[in-house]
Amino acid sequence: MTQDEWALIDRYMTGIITAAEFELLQDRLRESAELRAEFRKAASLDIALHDLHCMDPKQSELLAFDFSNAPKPIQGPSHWWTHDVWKMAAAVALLLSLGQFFFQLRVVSTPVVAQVQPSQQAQPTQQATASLVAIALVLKTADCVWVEPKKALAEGAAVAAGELELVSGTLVIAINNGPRIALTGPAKLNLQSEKKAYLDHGYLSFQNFFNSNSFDLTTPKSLLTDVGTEYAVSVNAEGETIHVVGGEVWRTNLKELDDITFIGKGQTSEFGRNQDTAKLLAYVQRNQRLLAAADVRLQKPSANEGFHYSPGASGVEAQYNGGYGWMEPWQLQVRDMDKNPAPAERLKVLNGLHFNDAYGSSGDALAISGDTVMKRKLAQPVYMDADATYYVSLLYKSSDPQGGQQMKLLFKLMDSERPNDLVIGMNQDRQLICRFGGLTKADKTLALDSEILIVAKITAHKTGPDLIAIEAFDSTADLSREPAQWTLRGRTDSSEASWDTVGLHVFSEQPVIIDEVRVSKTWSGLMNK
Amino acid sequence: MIAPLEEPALISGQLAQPPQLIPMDESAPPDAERFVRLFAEYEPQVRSFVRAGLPSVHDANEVMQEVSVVAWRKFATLETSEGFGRWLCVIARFEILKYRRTKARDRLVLDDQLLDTIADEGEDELATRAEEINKLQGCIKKLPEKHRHLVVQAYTQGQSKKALADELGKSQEALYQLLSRLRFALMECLGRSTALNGGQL
Repeated sequence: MTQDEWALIDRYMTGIITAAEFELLQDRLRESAELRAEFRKAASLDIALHDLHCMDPKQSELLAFDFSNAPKPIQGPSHWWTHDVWKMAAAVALLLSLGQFFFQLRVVSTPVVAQVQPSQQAQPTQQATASLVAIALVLKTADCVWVEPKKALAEGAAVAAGELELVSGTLVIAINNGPRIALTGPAKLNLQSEKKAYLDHGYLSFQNFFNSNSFDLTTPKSLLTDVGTEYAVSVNAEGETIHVVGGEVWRTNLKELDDITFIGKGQTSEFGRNQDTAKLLAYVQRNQRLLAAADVRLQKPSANEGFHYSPGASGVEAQYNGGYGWMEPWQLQVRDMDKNPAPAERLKVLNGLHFNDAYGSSGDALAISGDTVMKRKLAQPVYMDADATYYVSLLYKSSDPQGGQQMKLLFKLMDSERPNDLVIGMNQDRQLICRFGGLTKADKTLALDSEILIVAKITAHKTGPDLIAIEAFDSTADLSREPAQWTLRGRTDSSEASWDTVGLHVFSEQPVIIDEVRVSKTWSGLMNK
Repeated sequence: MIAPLEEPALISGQLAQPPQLIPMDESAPPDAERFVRLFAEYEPQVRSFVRAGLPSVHDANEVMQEVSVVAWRKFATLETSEGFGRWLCVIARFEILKYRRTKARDRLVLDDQLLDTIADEGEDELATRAEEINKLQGCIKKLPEKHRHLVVQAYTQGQSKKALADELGKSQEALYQLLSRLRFALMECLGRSTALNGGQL
């Protein structure tokens, strides 16, 4: 479809077409089956746009802004169900006790309520410190020379909002909500949030294949919005060059906001006198290899704790700050318990468990006893308000409690802002349990004195219900792929929790050996230490 | 081809026989649940189908009301739900013709032959229409925030384009051009399934 043909169709759909234009449109439609298909698609789009306000506001993020300027209360369009026949049908349906059923089938227009205000532009902030919220993870550094060496980031480091400024070298980061960015110096990028960044100058490669959220990259001249895209951009004092590798980029000219261009797959656009196309294309070639390597790195847990501490380290005075993907050391809380060992004896580093070759262990383990709680903050929280999948796992071995002794092991994901925990583990009856939107427990009991791997698969949905599936594996399990069936399942309405803390609660006089705690975005990542 | 203004079952030619009709059993109670379920499922696609044959959304909504009346009246004659979408399209085609000759007579409407062609082809595309409607939200979310808000606001019922243009400090023509570009972008987006699924292209 050409721009002219689109103009004719659009003028017809919007009711402003002239008689002469209409005749021309009819001629073109008679000639071209392809244009007739586009015409029908445009009709479909028109209907869907007019129906935008029929969507349930709870289901539609599109409505999540202030409508207070709308001149009239929002009303639904005149639909078929407003007709008498529907009233008749509804009456029949009511008689059949099915009235309510209908309302579950079709979302009825609801007066739109003002919701959240448009987000404010994030202000530049200083680089990450441990206390700031991590919004990205460093996947790779290649010969990085930092403008300010004290702000240098290592592989695996958490990245908070703020400036990333390189003299040279390449930094690859993964934003928490999916996109990956490679930045090559000399370059300055202000990472404003999980959804926005400002590139002041330098070369940048961008990939966003993992989710449906778009990412806004602003440059001095452009706002670039991706659509399932891989692209690269070069910015210098002379101008900007953008090359789209896959998908497309919607580029808004910041000087003239109505000037939107669509840069398609394989296309390169220059703005200003940048004249950098050849260099940028070479940069894309180089970075594809780098980003592919970063892909491999993503096939690892985002957080891993193998308790690889020196044998002498034990007790509350030890600094349990190993592994990666964490913001701070484990925080320990000991509670009174009859006949419990002294607090300093509650934690002991032991040799690791020999579980299953598919689940590589780091080689050490921590024996925990008493009524003991350990908590640790994740560098990358588990966000339940996004479309994402996470896996968390705990490898443990419990002793056989002696006559009448209680034993419990709880593994938690916690939101430090609100009480909205996910709890999985083993109860006093040795059942596998899950508390997430209600308590569920398995009938079968978990074996004692043997290694057990508990895995929870968390499927978060931005708008739909959130799902949890839990399985306990013994050392003979086939872990080469994720199970088709899970023993326990939990479900809640769309949770907005940000689980930023992992918790372990052991209640046992006999030591429970904890070998590995992991969080990953993929099953295969979970299996790689 | 000018079709007489008769009920679908009496029309000659292409519109003559809605599929899978059996004689109505007057004694059987209407299956309200099944009708509601099917109509709710197919209504958006069929309304898109109707929209292609009429000059405005308002016209399409009016015709859909008549389609719902006729469909409800004849529903007991439908043997299986398998062809419900196409069956509705047959009813809709008749109602479009009727509407064009009464209420849209003096307006710019597609000629009957072209309408027939568009409708014939459109009957095979109901699944595509459903897919597009489902995809639209994702496409709008891809727009830059400012433009996303503009699109939603422009399609707010009762929102005058002039008022919106004034609010934005633009001429109506400039606003139209911008919205047209955005609609074109959304058209493009609807055609790119892999991009919306987040898959590598």
